[in-house]
Amino acid sequence: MKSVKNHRLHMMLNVALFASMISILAQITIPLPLIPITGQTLAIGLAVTILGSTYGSYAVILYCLMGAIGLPVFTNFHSGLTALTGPTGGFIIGFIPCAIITGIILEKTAFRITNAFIANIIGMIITLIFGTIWLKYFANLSWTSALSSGFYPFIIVGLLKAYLAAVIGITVRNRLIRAKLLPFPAKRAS
Amino acid sequence: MMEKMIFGRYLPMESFVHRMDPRAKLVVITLFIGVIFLANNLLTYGILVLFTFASIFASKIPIKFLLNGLSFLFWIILFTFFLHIFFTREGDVIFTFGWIKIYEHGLQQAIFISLRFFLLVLITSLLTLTTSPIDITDGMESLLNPLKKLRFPVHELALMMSIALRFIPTLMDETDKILKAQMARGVNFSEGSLKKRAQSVVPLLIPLFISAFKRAEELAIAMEARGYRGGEGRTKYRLLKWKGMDTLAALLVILLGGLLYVFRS
Repeated sequence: MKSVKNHRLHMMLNVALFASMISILAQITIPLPLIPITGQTLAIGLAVTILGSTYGSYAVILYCLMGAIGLPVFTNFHSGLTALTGPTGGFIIGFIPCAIITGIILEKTAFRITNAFIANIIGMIITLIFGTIWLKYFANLSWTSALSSGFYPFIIVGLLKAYLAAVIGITVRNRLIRAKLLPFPAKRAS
Repeated sequence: MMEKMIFGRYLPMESFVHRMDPRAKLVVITLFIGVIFLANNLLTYGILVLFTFASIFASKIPIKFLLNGLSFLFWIILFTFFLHIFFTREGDVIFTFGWIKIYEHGLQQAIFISLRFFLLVLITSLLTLTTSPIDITDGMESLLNPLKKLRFPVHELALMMSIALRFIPTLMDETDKILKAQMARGVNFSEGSLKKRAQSVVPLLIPLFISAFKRAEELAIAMEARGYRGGEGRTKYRLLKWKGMDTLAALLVILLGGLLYVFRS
């Protein structure tokens, strides 16, 4: 039998390892013409799909904090407060509401691939809206130029990432539950 | 890839800024971010530039090194610069070339906003160049301590952060190993159609996640066995010391804010 405290410690460590995992995956890029697929958004989607809303968003917040204190964890080894306060900072801050909402949708429905796909698309749109609004006000752009530089180019790639996050996330989650490494299958509504 | 990650951007040296308490540095930076938005004319930006370069000088970090690390930001700054110069249509026209018209207001806006961004980058990278990540974590934990009263898990957050830091190189090694193992089995990560490439990520990620979760489990057991009981009553190995010069630095930034407030138009 595992005590409550042990469960808490265990989840804390899972969150910590997930944050470092996001930092590593953010450095992996699949080269594509025009816009490369970076692992950053994919890893965030995975974190939420695997850990659920609460712990998934903890991992994302931890990741953002690690970047803020200057570890080169953001894509292309960007780091520091400037990555958060700069013109593209909204995209990184936007990961947090993205994680929370994606996770809530998944927990309210069920951890299945179609649900995960839809939840991840919604999360992606939230991130993009956040990032675009931030970009608009930071750089004093008009809405049209903010949308064309911060929103439209990322939609197709975003859909692809949402699909990947859903498929891989659910597969890994089921494997982990089967291996009894994920000690909270309680929220599995099915 | 590995080296960059392990060492971060911290540059251990001996200087006034290096010796400052990490808490003081965090306070100074937070204040500075607020202060920088006060500047809106030539004089106030001049003061800011002076302050920024004085702090760089005090940290003894070679300017060349600092700028090298910022090469990636150069493009973002250039991008904002040109957006402003071409899309602000106020004030007098000062330059016409075919269909390109540059307005006075646009030029001013472009220079000021890029400069503001540039200074912000310089100051914040100074923090990470002069302070080790562990020190920053400690400083953050201690600054956030009052939030414990609101039941915000400050200690847990700091612990998770140090563990995450410690495991980045380990997991990086692991990724490398799995990557090579799967390549030896014939997975091709860099060629083929989009669908093929997306599929090739799966055999990389699944073992990676499973091994990470196993590590977390082992670590939890090890910590339990050694009697880890959470943050209550825990003492620290390294203690932070707030010295006179830290107060001085904080006051200096407040003074800077006052100056900008007086001279802004």
